[in-house]
Amino acid sequence: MNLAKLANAALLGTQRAAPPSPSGHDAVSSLLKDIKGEPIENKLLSLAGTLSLYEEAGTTPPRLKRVIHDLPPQDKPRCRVDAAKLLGRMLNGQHTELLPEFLTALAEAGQRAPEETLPLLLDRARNTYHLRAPLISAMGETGRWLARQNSAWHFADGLTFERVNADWKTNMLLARQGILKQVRTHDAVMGLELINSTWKNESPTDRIWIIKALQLNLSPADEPFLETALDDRSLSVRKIAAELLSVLPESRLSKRMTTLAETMFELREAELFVDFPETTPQMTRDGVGHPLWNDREKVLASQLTDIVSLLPLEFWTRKFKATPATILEAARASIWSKSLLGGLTAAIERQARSDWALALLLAESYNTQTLRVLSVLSPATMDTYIKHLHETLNHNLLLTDNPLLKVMGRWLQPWSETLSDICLTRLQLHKDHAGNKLPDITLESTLKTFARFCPRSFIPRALEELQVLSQHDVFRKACFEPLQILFFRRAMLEEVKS
Amino acid sequence: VLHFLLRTRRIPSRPLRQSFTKLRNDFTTNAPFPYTSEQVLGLAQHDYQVKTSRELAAAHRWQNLSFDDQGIWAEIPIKDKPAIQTNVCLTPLSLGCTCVSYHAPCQHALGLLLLWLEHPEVFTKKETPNWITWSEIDEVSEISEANDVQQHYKRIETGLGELEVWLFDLLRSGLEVARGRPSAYYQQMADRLVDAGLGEVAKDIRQLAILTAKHSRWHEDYLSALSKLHLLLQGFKRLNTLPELNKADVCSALGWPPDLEPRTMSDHWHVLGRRIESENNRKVQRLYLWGEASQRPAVLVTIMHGKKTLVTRFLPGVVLKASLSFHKSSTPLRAELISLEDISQPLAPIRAETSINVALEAFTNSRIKNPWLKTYPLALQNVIVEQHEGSWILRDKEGYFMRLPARYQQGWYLRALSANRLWVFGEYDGLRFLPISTWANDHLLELHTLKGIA
Repeated sequence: MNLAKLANAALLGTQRAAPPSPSGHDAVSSLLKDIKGEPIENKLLSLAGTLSLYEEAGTTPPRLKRVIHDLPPQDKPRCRVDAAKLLGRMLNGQHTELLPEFLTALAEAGQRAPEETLPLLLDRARNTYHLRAPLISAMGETGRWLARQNSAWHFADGLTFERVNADWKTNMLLARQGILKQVRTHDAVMGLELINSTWKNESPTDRIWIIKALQLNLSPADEPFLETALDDRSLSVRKIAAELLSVLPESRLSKRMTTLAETMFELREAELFVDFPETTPQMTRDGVGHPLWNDREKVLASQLTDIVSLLPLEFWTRKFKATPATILEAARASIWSKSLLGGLTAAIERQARSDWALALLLAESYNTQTLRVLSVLSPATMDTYIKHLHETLNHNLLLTDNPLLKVMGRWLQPWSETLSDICLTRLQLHKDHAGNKLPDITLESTLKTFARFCPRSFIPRALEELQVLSQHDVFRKACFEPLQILFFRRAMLEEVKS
Repeated sequence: VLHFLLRTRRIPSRPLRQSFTKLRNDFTTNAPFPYTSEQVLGLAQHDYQVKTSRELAAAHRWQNLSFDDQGIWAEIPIKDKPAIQTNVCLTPLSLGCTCVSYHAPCQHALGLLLLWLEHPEVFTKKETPNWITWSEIDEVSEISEANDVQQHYKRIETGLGELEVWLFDLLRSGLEVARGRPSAYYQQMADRLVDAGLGEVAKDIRQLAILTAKHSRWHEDYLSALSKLHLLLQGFKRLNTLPELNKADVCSALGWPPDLEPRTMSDHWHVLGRRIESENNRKVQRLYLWGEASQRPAVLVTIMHGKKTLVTRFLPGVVLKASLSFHKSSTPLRAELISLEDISQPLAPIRAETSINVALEAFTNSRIKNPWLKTYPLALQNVIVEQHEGSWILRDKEGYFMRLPARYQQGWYLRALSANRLWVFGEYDGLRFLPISTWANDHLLELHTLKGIA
């Protein structure tokens, strides 16, 4: 007799079936035979109690025959305990923005992130694209071994079309966006293949972000796909396809636009004149103008902005044999200045032309539209621009609406020494004139950007000067968080280095 | 029986209080705080609490940061409302706050304690304000008079009588019928047992409702659980004739902690984990210790009434040079702290068993002696966690394995640490092993503080 037999009998209930009587001649059976009890339920429970303890005593844990063989190979050393503690703090939400810098520093020092942080790092990097490259460099063989075991983390363990394709087809929005971005960066052709494999079945809203992702590593190989997307049913998709084609100077769209523009613009006495062409179906297909508007002037203005934004910037310098500054000056003088400058700004931003961006920033007064082109400035041109602002503006850095402050606050990439030096010099220059007036609210965000991106060699000086500044009551709040970031960065870099 | 119960009523208060008075003198605001930030953050009940506590560990968030000989306190001003008042007593560690957070401890109390740990210089010494009464550890209420014991005994007897009738009814109609019953059927019986002062037995009744879940051998587990309840009833009826240690086990299973052994055990006790269970209006905290020389586990139980304050004697991750006295039992596990000499940080994890088969032998031996033992602490080293048939298992190099709880959220962390073979501590309930802490980055890592990954 065993517990299973007794439990089967108990399923029916004692009023329908009596429990089986113990049989057999072993020790436990003779023990069970001695159990008496009234009523019958009492006996059943006593039998079950004895048998369950008897069986529990003889139970051994289950066993797997296969040997453990899939542990990772020898790896580079993990980072020091204190560095790992700082990493733990970042993963818990403190100064998360410094994670990429920390991981890069780890990889530079030939170390890797400790095992217990890898799952959370991989999980973060799954949806945070900019964390992927630093993580892959700092996770070591152990990280790769772990990533191989979870399909959500395959991005960290080499890309093959089969593996990526499976993930691409089955994942949710955020993960898919990450997959596409990573594949596009790693292998642009594979990215295009991936898009092509599901393009027809994608929803209109998904098509928008998918086609936008092509801007990563855009090349002439993408032109045929983008040309077909010009016939898409969605206006947004058509517009994005046209914008991307305009970035390729040899594309058919760029050539069509250049042909159209040859007879459209004239530069006379430092002013640009516009002769509008008749609207053709081809122009509408290329994303020029808005066919639903009735107001003629509005339609023309919109057409002009679109054509200028889709024109290769070389067109202007080649046709009029003039510098970007001259062209921009002529555009400002035109009666269509707003549309022309709007189109040129968009073209500069898309085609990422640092020289044009600098010319625009220097020519135009500071406004939110022109600040869009800040992101395409190269570090050297940014230095030139900041030096120009520093020399020409006498605004107090701490007062409201200071261009210098806002421009610096928007520079979300590593700061050069020149930029950092100008920031600290201006602070020193103006702190004594601040009086009791609280500084502009953008000071805090700009100082946070500075604290996050200033060169490592600048941290001691920055800490010293901001600590002095924070002793003024009016600056205490603005300096608190930047100081925390700087302290954390210093500790983090020292721990990794030592 | 009455005589026995009278003798076993809750006692250890006097030596314990004396030892705490001594502790108070040793570990106060005048001495360095014996815990690290990571150990303090182990008190957080969720990973997001860790984040908010960190944010609150900044002096500019607080007003009136103050301390006296026993603890620290401060306030967080709120516009047009009374300020949030937070206080932390340092020995025994007790964290209280007037905020509306459901959790004890809340992020304010944790943030304040972290601030004290990392920047004690921002606190000023002051007189204790009226709104603070430094709390004592709230022990199980004592039954002071013989009349109370008599009444209590009668209630237990009546409650167990009702349980016996309920069990027989259940068996008469059969387990298949019981399976179809709603959870209220079990809850009603559990409530009656709670009224009779049998909270521990009531937990087993609620557990029965879960055992009816679909799996092919549910009826065996169910019958086995019923038979253990029956065994307890029989034990109670024969309490006078049982050997003393079995008698103690029966009392303990009925929620009546037995007397302490006169012998104390001095050792370096590693604090390996903490588990809190909520029951009605009280919380039961089990603090798991492991003796370095004696190589045996011990559990310190603290009972907290009310929701707002968390009291704990120690935090996991430290080593106590202390003497414990175990409660009488055939499988002594629950203990009381008798004296404490020192709290220090461990340099390495305790030496643990490498074979799951051998470790489970300790569990099985204890279960045979004391069938009502529900969970048993196990420490294992040189093992790995891996996935098997869609769920996590812990296995040793011989291939023996234990399953981790279904949908266990911290499995990936243990898998990552398995790259270098794992040291892990947890509790085993006969079916599954619940990992509580592991050794990583040269310190004990409490697994519940890690964000779950599906």
